[in-house]
Amino acid sequence: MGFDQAALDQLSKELREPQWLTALRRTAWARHAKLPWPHPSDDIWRRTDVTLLDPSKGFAPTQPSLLQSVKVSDAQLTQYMQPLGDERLIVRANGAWLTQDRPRDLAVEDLARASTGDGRLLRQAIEADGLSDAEQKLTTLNTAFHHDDVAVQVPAGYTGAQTVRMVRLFSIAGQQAIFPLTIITVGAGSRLTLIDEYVSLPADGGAQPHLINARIELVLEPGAQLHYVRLQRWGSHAREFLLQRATLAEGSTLTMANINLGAALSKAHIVTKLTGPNASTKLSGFVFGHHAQHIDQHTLQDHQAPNTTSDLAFRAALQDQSRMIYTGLIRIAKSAKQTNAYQANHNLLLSEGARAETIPMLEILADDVQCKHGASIGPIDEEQTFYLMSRGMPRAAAQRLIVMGFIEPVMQQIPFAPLQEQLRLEIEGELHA
Amino acid sequence: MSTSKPQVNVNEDYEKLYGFHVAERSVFKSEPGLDETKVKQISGMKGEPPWMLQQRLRGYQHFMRKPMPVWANTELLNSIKFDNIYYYLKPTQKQSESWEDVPPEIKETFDRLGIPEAERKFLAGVSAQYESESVYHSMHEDLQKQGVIFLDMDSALKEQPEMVQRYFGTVIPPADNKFAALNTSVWSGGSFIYVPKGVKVAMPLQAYFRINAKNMGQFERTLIIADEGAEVTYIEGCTAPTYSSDSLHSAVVELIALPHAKIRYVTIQNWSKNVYNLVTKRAVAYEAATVEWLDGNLGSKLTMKYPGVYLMGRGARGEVLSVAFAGDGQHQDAGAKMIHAAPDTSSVITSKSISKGSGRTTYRGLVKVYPGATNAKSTVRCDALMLNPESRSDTYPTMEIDEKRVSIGHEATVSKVGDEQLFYAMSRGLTEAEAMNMIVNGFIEPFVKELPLEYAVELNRLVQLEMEGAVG
Amino acid sequence: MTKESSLLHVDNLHVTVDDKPILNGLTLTVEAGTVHAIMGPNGSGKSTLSFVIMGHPKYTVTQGRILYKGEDLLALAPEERAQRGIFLAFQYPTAIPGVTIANFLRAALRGVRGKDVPVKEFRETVKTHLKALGIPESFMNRYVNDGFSGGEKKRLEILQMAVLGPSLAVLDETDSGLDIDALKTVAAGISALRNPQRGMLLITHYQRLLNYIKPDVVHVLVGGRIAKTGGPDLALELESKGYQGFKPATEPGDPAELGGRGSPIAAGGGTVRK
Repeated sequence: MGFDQAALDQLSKELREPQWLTALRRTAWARHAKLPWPHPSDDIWRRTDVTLLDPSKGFAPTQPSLLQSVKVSDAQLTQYMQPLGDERLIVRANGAWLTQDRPRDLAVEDLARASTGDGRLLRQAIEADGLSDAEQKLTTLNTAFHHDDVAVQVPAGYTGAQTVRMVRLFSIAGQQAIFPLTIITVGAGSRLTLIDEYVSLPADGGAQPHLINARIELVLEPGAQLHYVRLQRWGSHAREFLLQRATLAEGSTLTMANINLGAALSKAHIVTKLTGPNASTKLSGFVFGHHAQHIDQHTLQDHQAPNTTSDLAFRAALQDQSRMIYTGLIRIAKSAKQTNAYQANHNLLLSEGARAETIPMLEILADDVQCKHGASIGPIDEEQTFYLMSRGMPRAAAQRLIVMGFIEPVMQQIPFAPLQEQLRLEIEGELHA
Repeated sequence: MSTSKPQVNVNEDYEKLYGFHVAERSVFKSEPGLDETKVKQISGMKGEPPWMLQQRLRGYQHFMRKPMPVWANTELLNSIKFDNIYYYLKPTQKQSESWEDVPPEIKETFDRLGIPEAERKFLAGVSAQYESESVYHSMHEDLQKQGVIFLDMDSALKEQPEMVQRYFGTVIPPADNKFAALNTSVWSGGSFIYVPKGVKVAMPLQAYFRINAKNMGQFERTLIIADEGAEVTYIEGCTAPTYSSDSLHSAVVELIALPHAKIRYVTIQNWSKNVYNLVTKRAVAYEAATVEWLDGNLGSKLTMKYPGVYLMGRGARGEVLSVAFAGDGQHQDAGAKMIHAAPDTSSVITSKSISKGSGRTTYRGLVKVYPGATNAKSTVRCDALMLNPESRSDTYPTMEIDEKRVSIGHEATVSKVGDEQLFYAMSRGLTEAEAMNMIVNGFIEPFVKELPLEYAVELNRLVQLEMEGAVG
Repeated sequence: MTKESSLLHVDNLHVTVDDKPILNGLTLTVEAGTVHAIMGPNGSGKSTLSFVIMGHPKYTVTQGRILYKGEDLLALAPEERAQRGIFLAFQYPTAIPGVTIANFLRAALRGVRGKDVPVKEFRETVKTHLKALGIPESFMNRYVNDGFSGGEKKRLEILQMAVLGPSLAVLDETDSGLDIDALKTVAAGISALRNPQRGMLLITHYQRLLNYIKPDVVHVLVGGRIAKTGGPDLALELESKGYQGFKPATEPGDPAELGGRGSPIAAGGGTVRK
């Protein structure tokens, strides 16, 4: 089965979703057919071969029925069913909830189910415009074929202190494509810490690529506060396109960390729209590049309202033959007076074969602003290494410590210490230095 | 920003100082628009060797074939009316070596621009181009004795045919980009400089480019070769009358710095606001050579210019230091390219831009490090000052690094003149206007202090300040 | 005791940086239990000596040798020197963002001792020294030298010295950039670490540190060589007369002799800037 209208209709029938969702799918599919694929003359798309993300090039959609028939082994499961600390753990594998005690005070549900009630916010989140044609070419695929979706709806005034950690397991066979959609709406004045973890488990153990076209929408209503961590642990043959977008209403605050560990190829667009006055966001990212990974991240800090603040710091540590491409844009609209925007991108090259490209961009249409960006690419600093060696550490240990120090500012943005510790151990264990 | 605040003004007296025009003068003027016949006609009139005609025709083909860039100010680019442009205008029968022999209205123009005076005071050689041709040219005798060659490009093609053929188009090939292709097909005038081994030219050589006619296209072509251990500073200035219809200036400048040579290329671009300034400038620096581009952009409607240095030899050094000012209706899309292709190479890019009114400044840059260019170092610093709510500033730097042992850094800021800075200066007794003036001058100081004194004074005079609505 | 088996024996040492000669035949012997002060003008090669003892890769030894407890020090990597009991308090300690002092010290102690130190023991050791140096415990969670004031950096150097317990401590201008109170604290910290097994090399520009730590021997370093050696009184003599009187047997007109800020030698040899 390929990607066509019939596949789409079959999918929406199986999901028994409300009519408006199906209508959105059809519109998106029609739009997809009209749009051209992103052209390499565009700086944001130049360095990644988008045909690798085209599902019609040899990939098959994974039907919900097929998805659930794929077995996840017990060993695989136990690894993910253990809480790391005192968090509220929610595990979902191939479209089925594995943990019983889904929080009742937060609506964590399949999108199809969540949509049956007042789907206003969810619908708005999916329909939201403001994407470039190039982005839409890929996101329309998700809108047309999404399933295994999750909607988290945080009611207004919610202030649960406990960290929610949601682990999503996807068992995917070679040449299969999946289209997960996650929508998180955070009601007015509420507060939530959410760790959103994505894992793909190769179902056939083969070396065939699988395709993931993912979309995450975060909607913060006035005064909402969200701590959000997206942890990407796709398998080593995964190819990912991700649109991750946050829309911030007046006075809302988003603290976000994107941790990128897996995938063979990842093209991620991380968009933050500050649409209400006094909205503020702190964005961190870490890419651990290894093997022949190709990681292409684009960030947009889109200031549309006055008195908004954004502070972005993305870091990458690259070893083996990995390649990192970062393009980041701060856009300040004419109306966004008294805006502060910062953007930093730092790349540490750990191996001879590692490569990095960085394009930090500014488009400033207002004058009363403070805007800064900085970028760097280089190996581990020799003076730092010498200082540590002079204290008795062998070169390799000294360099490992420096790399861990380099990562630390991002770790500090993860509001859950046990996960910080797990990541530190995991990354340090993988370092060759 | 409230309207009572002091305003920085650039080119306030442009009309009086530079925007004038005199009666058009020509001994030959081609019909507007461009076709292959005109390209052949230009080459034929100049009595060029066949290889140059071939080069021009190749340039013409590429110009016709290449699409407009899609990445800059496409709106302005697509409004260029190529068919209205006069591609070749020969103002005089021949070039003079004495100002007395220059036709009076042309001499008067250059007198008003202060060129003969500057020549007497501190220049080692001057070339003055009017429309398509160099009308005046001179160089100090002692430089001639040392073997320095400073000619207009057309004369160089006749007098130094081998050297021109050897280097012409090697740094910027005809197919490099649409406007380099256009220049290749219709080039006329520009400078050719060769500085022999070990010769250090102490005083600057200058070229001044003046457009006088309406709808004029000026396409000068410059080639500078500094042989091993040689040093030279070249300064170019340019102005034009203000017309309601557009003119086009599209130059190609190629610099070749052989081992241990040093070239400093200074530009004070002050075209009137109806000139499209679409220029390709690039240098090659071999072992331990240094190339510095000092690039000041004050005038023009749209400037697109990204001086580059290809660092091809060990220890080569490149620097671009630029200031851009965009007033109402202007877009300065400028930047730099540094290509590190050898070990121990270093580059520094410093860009300062000021946007006023509806002016827009864009920094666009590339730092590329090829594998094997170990210990390459590059620092980029871009600062933009926004003077009004309608102003716009963009920054598009690219860093592509294919080598581990490097040190690459980039920093940029965009802000208005800080209230704290103003307050601090005013708390020391300065008026708001003085404080503003001081801060803006301080902002461009890194550029100004590198200029020869006379140009620094000139630039500071251009960037003036006045209290809006102030009495007297 | 022969010089070869002394704690530190520097023998006719010649060192260059980027092919520029900085040390030109320096000879020096430090015995266990003694404190030597090395004084000299800017650019005389003081910091170069300290970096060469620690093994900084930027410095090239062109002639001479350094023996430490009879062993050829120049053959060892920096961490091997540290493991054998050499400690350098840097003039400009390097910042390592993201690495907490706690992690850093533990890793250092592991390196020096060659084995892991139990958490409890580590905590107690550090606690004692923190207290002695008047440093709050919250210090341990800060990143190494990151955003530190001059005084904090110097105190951290002394804390490391105390925790690592070296046999030979080289203190490079530990007094520079300190106000009088910080100087007293740091000097007290150093004095407390004096013992019969430990040798110390105090490198300083001014005499004032020596008011608090009385050296056994004072050397005057000018133009990359020891120009004069004497007792504590020599430091006082220098304080009143300055370095003008000391013209070592070096090439006339060597800028190193003139010293002073801004001299090319001072810029090249004295400090390492990132």
